[in-house]
Amino acid sequence: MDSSLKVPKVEKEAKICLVIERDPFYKVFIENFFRKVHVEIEFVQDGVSALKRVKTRKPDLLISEALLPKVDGLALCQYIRSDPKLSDLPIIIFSILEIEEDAVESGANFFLLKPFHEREFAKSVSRFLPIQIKEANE
Amino acid sequence: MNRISTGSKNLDIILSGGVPSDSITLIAGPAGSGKSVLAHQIFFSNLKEGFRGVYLTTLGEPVYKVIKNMQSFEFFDPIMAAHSIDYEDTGFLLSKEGLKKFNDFVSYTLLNYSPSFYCIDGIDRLKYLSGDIPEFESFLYDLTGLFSAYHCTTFWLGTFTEAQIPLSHEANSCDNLIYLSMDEQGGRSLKVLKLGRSSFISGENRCTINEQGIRVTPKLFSTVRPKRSDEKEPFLWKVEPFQEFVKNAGLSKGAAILIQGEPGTGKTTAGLRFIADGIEQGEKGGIVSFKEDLSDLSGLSQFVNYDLESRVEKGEASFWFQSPTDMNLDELALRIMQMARQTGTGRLFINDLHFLFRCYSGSPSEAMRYIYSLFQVFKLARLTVLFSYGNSPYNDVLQELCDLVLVSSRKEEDYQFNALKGVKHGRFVGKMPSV
Repeated sequence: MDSSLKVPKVEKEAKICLVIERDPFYKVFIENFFRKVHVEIEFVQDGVSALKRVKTRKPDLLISEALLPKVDGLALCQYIRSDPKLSDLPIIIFSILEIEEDAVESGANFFLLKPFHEREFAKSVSRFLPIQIKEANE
Repeated sequence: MNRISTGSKNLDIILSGGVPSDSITLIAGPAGSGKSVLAHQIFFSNLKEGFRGVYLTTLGEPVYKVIKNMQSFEFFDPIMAAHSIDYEDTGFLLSKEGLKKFNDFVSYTLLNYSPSFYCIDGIDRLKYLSGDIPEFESFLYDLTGLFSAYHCTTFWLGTFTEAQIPLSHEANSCDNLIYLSMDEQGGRSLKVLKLGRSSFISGENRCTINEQGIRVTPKLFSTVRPKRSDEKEPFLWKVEPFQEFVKNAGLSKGAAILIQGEPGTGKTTAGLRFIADGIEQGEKGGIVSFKEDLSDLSGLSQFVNYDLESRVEKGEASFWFQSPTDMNLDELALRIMQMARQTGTGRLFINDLHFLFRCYSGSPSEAMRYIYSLFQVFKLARLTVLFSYGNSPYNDVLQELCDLVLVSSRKEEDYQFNALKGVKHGRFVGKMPSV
């Protein structure tokens, strides 16, 4: 993991990030990352579970792989954007698929192509959550 | 029986229409032979609205790597991939749990995702996780049973050498078997070894992988006996000395003529005259050359007062140069036929055919099969073909198959043509006439 990440100030109210990812290696990476930046995370396995979850408790950020069973990441984005109660939820789509344009068209706020460096991931998360990133050369 | 298209028209022909639906197909071959490409090509050719596919990797290549590689192919539609394919990487599950939970996972995906297509990439890796052969057999029996219980067309991809196939449990458990191979020179081929109870074109078919996916050239074969109907249209070559030979031989369109002889004995010139005469009679000509390019042949055509290049420019004749060193015979035949069909060629001159066979490294029986099939294909297409041939292997086969065989020789300025077959006492000695 990248040691250049500075541990941020702990927010008064912990932020929650919902992650839809099934790949065990990315799960470990994401878990470690958010632990370092003190953001609470929750994993779900597929688009259907994610929809249920966001309806019961709206997270502060949703990060989803595009390739998901049942309801894929792009369809999930569209559902969320069409729901007035959820439409302002920030969404990051990440995938090995080169679908940036389609992801943004579907309603994603940001697209991240896999594989990515921790720094890139941190930058994309910091657009939506108040985490602090310190560049290695600073 | 419903068939699933492979996304390659020629492979569908080889498979008598495609892969039988709701069956298990083992796509076997060494690493890099195109197994994942073929599976993805089949998926993307068939996944329409409402259909789903599951692509599962085992302990071989991780699923992300597979997807990354596949994105370079034109058939790969990332949106369709996101919407319609469930990519599953079971590497983690297998390394943690062994084979124990693998079938449960497959069962879960079959039940919950209702896929029409299923692919297990790396089926060969699973045997290494079983304790012994009976355990693996039992595992495979359950897996096969699982797929048989669902309406799902399944592909297993496995790294096997051809020698391993007959003894492999995976090959015995599947309904269909396609083997992809690569030689040391990078030449690829595809062989169907089993196709349920359907017929298929057996033997090795050359194939290539490009950005469009796998492209297969079916092995040239002749299943239809050429018609010996009454609809025969006489073939005329209105130039001496050939007029007499052709007339006496009673040739009809679709005939095969062989001119055999040493270099410099007028074979190529005769071929150019053959094409020129066809054009005069309103018949388009095609020239296939393995040695001379168009400008070389044009230079030669000046000797018979014939401007070949302008004929080609006008579209009255087509010319195709092919280096014999980088061509497989089946692909050559396919290309010639395509060219003839596209241009409406009626007469074909294949110059220096011996060059092709000198570069051919296959077995003599395979060459015999090829030559025989080639002649039948030309005959069926009613293409009148003139072959010029040096003294090389397969003389006897060519002579047997041709309707008229002329042996050319030269003494100083005089060209000599002797009919060896087709005319009882045909002989010409004299200067090569101009057009």
